[in-house]
Amino acid sequence: MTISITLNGDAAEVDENLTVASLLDRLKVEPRRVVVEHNRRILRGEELAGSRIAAGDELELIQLVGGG
Amino acid sequence: MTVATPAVDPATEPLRIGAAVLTSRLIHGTGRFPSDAVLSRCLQAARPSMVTLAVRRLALGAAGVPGEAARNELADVDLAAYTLLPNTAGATTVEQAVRLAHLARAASLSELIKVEVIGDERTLLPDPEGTLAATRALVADGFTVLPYTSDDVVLALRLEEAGAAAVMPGAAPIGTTLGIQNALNLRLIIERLGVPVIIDAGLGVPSDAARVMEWGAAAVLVNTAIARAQDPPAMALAFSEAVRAGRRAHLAGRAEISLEAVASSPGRGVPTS
Repeated sequence: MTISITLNGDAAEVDENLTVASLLDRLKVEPRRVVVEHNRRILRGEELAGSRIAAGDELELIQLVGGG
Repeated sequence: MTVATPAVDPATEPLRIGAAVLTSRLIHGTGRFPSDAVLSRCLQAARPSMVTLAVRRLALGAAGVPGEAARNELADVDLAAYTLLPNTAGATTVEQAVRLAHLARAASLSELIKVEVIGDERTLLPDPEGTLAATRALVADGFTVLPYTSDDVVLALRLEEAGAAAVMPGAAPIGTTLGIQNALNLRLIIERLGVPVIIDAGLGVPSDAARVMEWGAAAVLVNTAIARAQDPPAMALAFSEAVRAGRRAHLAGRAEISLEAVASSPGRGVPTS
């Protein structure tokens, strides 16, 4: 079964019962490279493994980029 | 008679903003460079203490998997070598700026934030009310706040009163490289504020940077003028030299202006008769 979430502003389907840490692993994103915002709350690194993703959740994967 | 040589060169005195100590007064932007490699060479040439950054979503591919675009844009740059000044670019409301600032703090592990609340998409000029409100909110949240502002003198004073650690008036609209458009207002802001004034946005050539440093600006932030130069690393070096020269000239104190000519050579002993 998959559930619908919003990932970086776009609709996405992910497996049920995923944690944020396991989603990052599937996306091949190193956790220390991004800041994760889960339903508008910034997760600390140690919270990634315990944060379960539910249908309708909003996730943002954020990084520093070049800018002025 | 001997003249004592000062032990410390005042022109190299670091600039302190919050917990940050800047030995270079050229703050280097990292956007719009032709490549990461060119940016890296510019940083090696200019040797800034502080670099600016933006906060953005990680680019994800069509299948939700990060594609080539998701590689870290700053992969060639050792960010640990610099004091990071993330910005809230992209915000048009106070709420967006506050959210971006908190994401920036989590990403940069720094309390420093350059507040940008844009009020008009075509000129990218800042929203005065939003900039002031975001500054107040982020100071209350414990940030070291450096707001990007226009050349409005009274707004700059209000930002200082709101707790800004430094104020960053623009010389011209962002990315234009038009140079100094309102010299009087920039000078008045430098004169009137107690906190460091960092001239940001729109500088075009090193003489622009030298000029504002001569007036007593604490630092300048340069991005497009370096990134879009024909030879960006050479321009980065030129800006760093101009900033140092301007700072040194400010400390040296300019000569008095005279409206009448004053001969530099002795008036007596001219062998004309």
